[in-house]
Amino acid sequence: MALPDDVLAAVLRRLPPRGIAASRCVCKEWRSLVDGRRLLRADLLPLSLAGILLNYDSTWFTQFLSRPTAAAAVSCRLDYTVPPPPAYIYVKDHCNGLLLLLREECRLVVPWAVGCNENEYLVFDPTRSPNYELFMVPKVPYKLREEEECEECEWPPSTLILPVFSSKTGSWEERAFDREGDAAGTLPAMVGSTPFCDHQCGYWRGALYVCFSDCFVMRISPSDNKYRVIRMPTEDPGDTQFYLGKSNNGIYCASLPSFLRPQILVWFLNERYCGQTVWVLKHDMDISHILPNLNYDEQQRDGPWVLQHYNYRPFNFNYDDDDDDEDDVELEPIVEEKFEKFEWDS
Amino acid sequence: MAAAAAEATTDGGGKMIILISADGKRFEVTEAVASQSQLISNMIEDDCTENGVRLPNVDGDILTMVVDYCNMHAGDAAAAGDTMKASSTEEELKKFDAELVQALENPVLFKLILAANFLNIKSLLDMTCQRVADMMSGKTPEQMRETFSIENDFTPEEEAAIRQENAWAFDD
Repeated sequence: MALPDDVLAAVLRRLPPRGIAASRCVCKEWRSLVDGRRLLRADLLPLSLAGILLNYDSTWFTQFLSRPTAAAAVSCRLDYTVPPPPAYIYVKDHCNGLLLLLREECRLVVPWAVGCNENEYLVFDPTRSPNYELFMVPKVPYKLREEEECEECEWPPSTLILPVFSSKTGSWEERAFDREGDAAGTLPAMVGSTPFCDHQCGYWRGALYVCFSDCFVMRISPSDNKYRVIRMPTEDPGDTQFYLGKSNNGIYCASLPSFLRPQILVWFLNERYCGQTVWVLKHDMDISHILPNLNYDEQQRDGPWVLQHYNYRPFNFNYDDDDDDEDDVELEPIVEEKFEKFEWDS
Repeated sequence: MAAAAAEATTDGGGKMIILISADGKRFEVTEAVASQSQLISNMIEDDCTENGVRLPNVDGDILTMVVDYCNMHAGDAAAAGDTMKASSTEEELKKFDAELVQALENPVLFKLILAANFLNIKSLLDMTCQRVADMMSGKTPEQMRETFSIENDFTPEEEAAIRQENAWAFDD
């Protein structure tokens, strides 16, 4: 029995984009319906990389690094999102285009060090659901409390209890995640091992990957309430700092050149390797020959990627429109000049 | 006119009207219950329900479900604050709704959707459409075809090309 077009459209409209894309492959009639009524708006989905959000220790706001674009420019000038008085607005976390903002009043503190023992991680995939969740994941404790000085104490614990906010219910709840496999270590051995300003994560195929700096990656799977510990690609990091992130094909980890090693290393997390999870080295590049040319002090503006509003000062004490205009005037000619030299977004 | 009709029903149990299914079954309901159907509500306004309302494309078994649904939901359609009829709590309604559609086989569910569409009962149409969407959720195109007994009229090459257009949706 077939449903009339109006009714079928009413059904398909209730599916998330991923479901509509699947229904489009069912038969010719369904495809015509989906296309004719524009039920699938893939153009609205965050399917391509628009840029990279950067939080520098030395600046008071998030920067957006991107290729010069012909489309509407993305700006990290987010102060318009909150009512006055002016505040520093940071992008604390983001996931598939959804931003978690932190409002910091005018205080001279490094925002990421503001006393908290947890980091927030957004989980959002608009191709599957319009709802998002926010996970509070504990950091490795900075110091031991007296009652915790037991050597047998595993970290993370075999059952990890995380506060989770769901936009669907509009409320927080505590969710228990059982560990699969071994813990990362014992609490006394791990205490203080991760730096303060550490916020690296990736969300891929329904799992949240949180990097605990040089120690391990925690893979949290909300669908079955399990979590597990994944070791870093190399066990002897030396002075290496690892960076975790998501790219086209999954979760990647990179380490930048250090005094001991001039290479950029990039690993891919292969989770389909005979049922095991293994890091596969993808790039091993000695970049020492270009390092001397990198100028960390000056604003680099002649690359194919540029910072948007790099000289924007959210907390200028002459906080008014005139000041904003000045910033823009200063920036625009420089950027436009550079447009010519590089390809536009492909 | 509609306001006057609603008043009449809430005062004294209301005027009754007869619904007649395609196979001749007759259902006697109050105007308040029946007017959850926009179609019937319009007929009541136009005063053409005197000799019963014939519904030639709704079978008796489906109309039974529709009437049950409308009886159950008459509370929320009637004026708020009127406690004459002990109206069902929200929780009871949810339970009733879930049980109504949960166990239905596809052909029956589809007939119920068609009836809700024809009678123009928005809440029932919403609920049944949602049920179908829930059944499709997370399914591959093959599984959707199977669920709805739809024949694949694409060639393998055509289907591959269509998948490629939205490759992001098929990366699992």
